[in-house]
Amino acid sequence: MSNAIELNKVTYTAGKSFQISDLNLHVPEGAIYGFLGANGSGKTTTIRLIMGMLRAEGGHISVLGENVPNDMPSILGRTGYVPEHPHLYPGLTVGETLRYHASFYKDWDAEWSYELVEALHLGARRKVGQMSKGEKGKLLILLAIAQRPELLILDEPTDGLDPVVRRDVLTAVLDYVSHTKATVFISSHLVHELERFCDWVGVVDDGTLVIELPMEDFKSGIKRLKVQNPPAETDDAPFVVLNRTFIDRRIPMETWVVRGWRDPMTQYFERAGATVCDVMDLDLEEGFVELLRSSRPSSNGYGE
Amino acid sequence: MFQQILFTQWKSFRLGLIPFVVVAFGLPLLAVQGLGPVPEGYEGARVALQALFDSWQFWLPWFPALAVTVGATAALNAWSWDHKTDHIYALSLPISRPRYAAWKMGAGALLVVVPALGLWLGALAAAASIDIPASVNTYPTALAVRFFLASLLAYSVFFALAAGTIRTTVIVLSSFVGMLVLTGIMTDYASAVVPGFAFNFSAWLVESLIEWPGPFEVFSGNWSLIDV
Repeated sequence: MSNAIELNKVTYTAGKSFQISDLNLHVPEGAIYGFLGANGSGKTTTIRLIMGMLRAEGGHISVLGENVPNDMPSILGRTGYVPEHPHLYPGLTVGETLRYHASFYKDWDAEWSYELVEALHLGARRKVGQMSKGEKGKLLILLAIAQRPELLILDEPTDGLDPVVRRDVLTAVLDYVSHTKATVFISSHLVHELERFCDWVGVVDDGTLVIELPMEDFKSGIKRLKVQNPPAETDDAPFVVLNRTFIDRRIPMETWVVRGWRDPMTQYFERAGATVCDVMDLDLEEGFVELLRSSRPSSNGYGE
Repeated sequence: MFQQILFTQWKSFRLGLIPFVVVAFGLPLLAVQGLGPVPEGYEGARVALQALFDSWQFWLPWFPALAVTVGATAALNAWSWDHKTDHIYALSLPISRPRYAAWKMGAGALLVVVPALGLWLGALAAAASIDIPASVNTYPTALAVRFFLASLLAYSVFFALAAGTIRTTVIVLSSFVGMLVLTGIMTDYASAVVPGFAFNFSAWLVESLIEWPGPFEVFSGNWSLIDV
């Protein structure tokens, strides 16, 4: 399977304190890829690098088989983009915005765009500058999908929207994807939202990719274990220990959060003289939090 | 695409254009107001002509000033919505940056025609309203064309300056001004200490810019409605 977006060893420095360093990212064609990260972790910067708005200092970026930034007009003609903050011209009405936007895209579906205006209750004569954040969010999604893109890049598209609008926005995206098999790259810090429909997930923290894998592997591979008589060292463990916490310092019982867990791995503990008392699934949000906690340099592996 | 870019600029600038059109139309009329019929005889014609030139001289600086204001406002307007959105929308459109800037500039340049047309109509009305001596002609079209070219030049300069971020503009302008000031200081110093060397950089610079074939000659040239 080829990749719709591919970043290889991309570096970029923003100001004095933030850097994207050796970022590798592989978004398979047709995937709905959730790009997770805390606020300020580099999600928007990464997206702007992919969109050619920022120039990488090193590495290589390709989108839909074309090179960034050399082939940008062609790439952007095949890509629908929803930015973090609404960016539309405030003095235009919805209808005027549609006509302006349409003039740049050869595959623009005018009929469908007006159907979407009705379906999303936008009103063609409404002025963009007088619309609520939710209405602007819906209009941005409309503009992104009515151009019939092969790739949708959505930068926190539902951030700050009420649940009803959020559902409308995501439904419109999923409806489009189900008909076209387009690739979706969606960034968010609202982890639970992505859990429902993403089939790939990448986690970024402080400009570095922490993990990238299919959603199923992510969800099934991260577990919380209750371990009695735990071994002190875990260097030879067949899984990655993200976090280990004392349940009570008086008894030799700990809670471990591990990645890459498979049931036969209980033998590892048996060999070490430990017992796994319980294996619990973590939802995506818990897994995400544990991943970030373990990836940060200050983490010592022992939480309180 | 160009039509839509033109429409967005028209929409954002149309209300701002109205006062410019009114002033451009009224300025030639103001410049000739109060002038009566030309009396009989050579002396009468001479006095009437002098009164006409005096009145025009009084209003003359307003024409290039208006042209600069029109050009600067049109240029700032051309980028205003993009600045408000941090250029994100423009950068996400499938068009190369030079082409986008060129079409945006072209659209704004077309809007600059509107006040020039207002001035042309005002100049035609002013020329028709005055009684001029036999040997003198009126040039409303030439005045309007000069006004348009001056507006276009101002528009181009401000368009280029406004295209970048405020930070970029400040850096470019301050570097340019700093370089001029430094050169002025150095040439003044050289004139003072080097025997036989006399060079007034400031005077040379102004002359080079606004006198033919300087790039800003259009602002200082002949802005007359009436000429022999």
